[in-house]
Amino acid sequence: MPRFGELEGAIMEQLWRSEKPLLVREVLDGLDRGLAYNTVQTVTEILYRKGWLTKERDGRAFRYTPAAGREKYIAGLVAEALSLTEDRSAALVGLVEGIGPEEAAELRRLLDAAAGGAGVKR
Amino acid sequence: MIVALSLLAYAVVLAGAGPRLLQAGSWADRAPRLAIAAWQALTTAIISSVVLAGIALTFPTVQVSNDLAALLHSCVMAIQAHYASPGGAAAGATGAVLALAVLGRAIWCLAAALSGAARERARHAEALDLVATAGPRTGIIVLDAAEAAVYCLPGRRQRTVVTTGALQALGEDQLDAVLAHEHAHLAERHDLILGMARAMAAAFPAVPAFRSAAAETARLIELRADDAAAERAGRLTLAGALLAVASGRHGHAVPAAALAAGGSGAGARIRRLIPPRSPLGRARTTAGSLSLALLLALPVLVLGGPAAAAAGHAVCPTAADGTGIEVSVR
Repeated sequence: MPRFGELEGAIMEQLWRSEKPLLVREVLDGLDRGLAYNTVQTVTEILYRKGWLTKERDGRAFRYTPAAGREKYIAGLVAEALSLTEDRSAALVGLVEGIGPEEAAELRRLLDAAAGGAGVKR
Repeated sequence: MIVALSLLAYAVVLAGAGPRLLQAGSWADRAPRLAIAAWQALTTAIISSVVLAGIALTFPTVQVSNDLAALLHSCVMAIQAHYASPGGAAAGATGAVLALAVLGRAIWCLAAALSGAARERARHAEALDLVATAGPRTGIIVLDAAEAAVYCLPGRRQRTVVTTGALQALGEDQLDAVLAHEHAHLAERHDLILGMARAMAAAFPAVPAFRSAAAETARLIELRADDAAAERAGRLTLAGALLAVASGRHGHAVPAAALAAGGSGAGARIRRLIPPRSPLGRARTTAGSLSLALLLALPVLVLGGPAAAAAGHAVCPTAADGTGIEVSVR
């Protein structure tokens, strides 16, 4: 299972790095792992069905391209993680919610005083 | 009938007075683990009292005897007598509906909440697999984002996620402190504890005690994880780490509710870590644990009391020599 996820990640990586839509053959060449063509094709098709890729016909094959940039997915995950405070299922457990600049400055002062003005990193 | 009414009264008293007792004073902040258990015990005791009251209405108490045939006979007679009168039958039907409805709704909502959380986690984990990179040490994965955030995904394939923004804001020892905090969440399954509390609040929205339980549990699990992390990494180091992550939010504004009164939840946690820690004493912790056990045992004792007393009569010593060792078994 982790290996499978890893291959999905590697394929997405290839496609995110590429400037143009790629054929499965080109993805396979870029992976350089000695994988079978069919394996890469199957996993690429799974990614397409999950909505991560779009495809367009090119002769007898398909060219794949990511549905959205990597940053967009990361931003979505971070937003999900940060909005986990109220009224949500406890799927994710966060560290701490944000605080405003004034309160942060006041706490910084208290903390520095407690540490004797030294010893604690910023 | 008396048993059922006293169980219902117990539930009402608990729901009314329980939250006030648990929120009074500052003992909860000094013993967050005990306080989490107290809210769980309160919730369980309220629900089980109502369910047991329903059962008490449905099945009349009977004399417990060692003779199975006699026991069954007296059961049948008592149930016949109970349901022969229209009032008894109505009470019995009401009791059955009450017990089944409350128990069914609790279990249904709990199952829905837990499976919903599992689905949400699986979807999140799948996306993480595609976009996250390996962290600077084992056990953590990194998201390339300026926003400072740290969180964990509980469950079988658990993982801790740190953004590059958080990594930049944290020193080495501060990162240790943060990871110890997340580790405590994962190891003590705080997601399940919070999930249960929120599920009960959603299942019975008319009971304000359950809403308080959910809100307080959310706060207390953070305090508990802070205590665990402070023990490992030092309280001032942890306080500095929390401050660094909390003030490293750019795009996401501070939640409006947090700004309301007396500073934010994050601020309160950091302030709590600055003076030396003063955990609740051993004696008071033990006393607290014992009262929780009593709280939970009481409804069962109320229901089982008369039956146990009746059973006591059946096993009184009858041997001629009066040693009291022999027990009459017909």
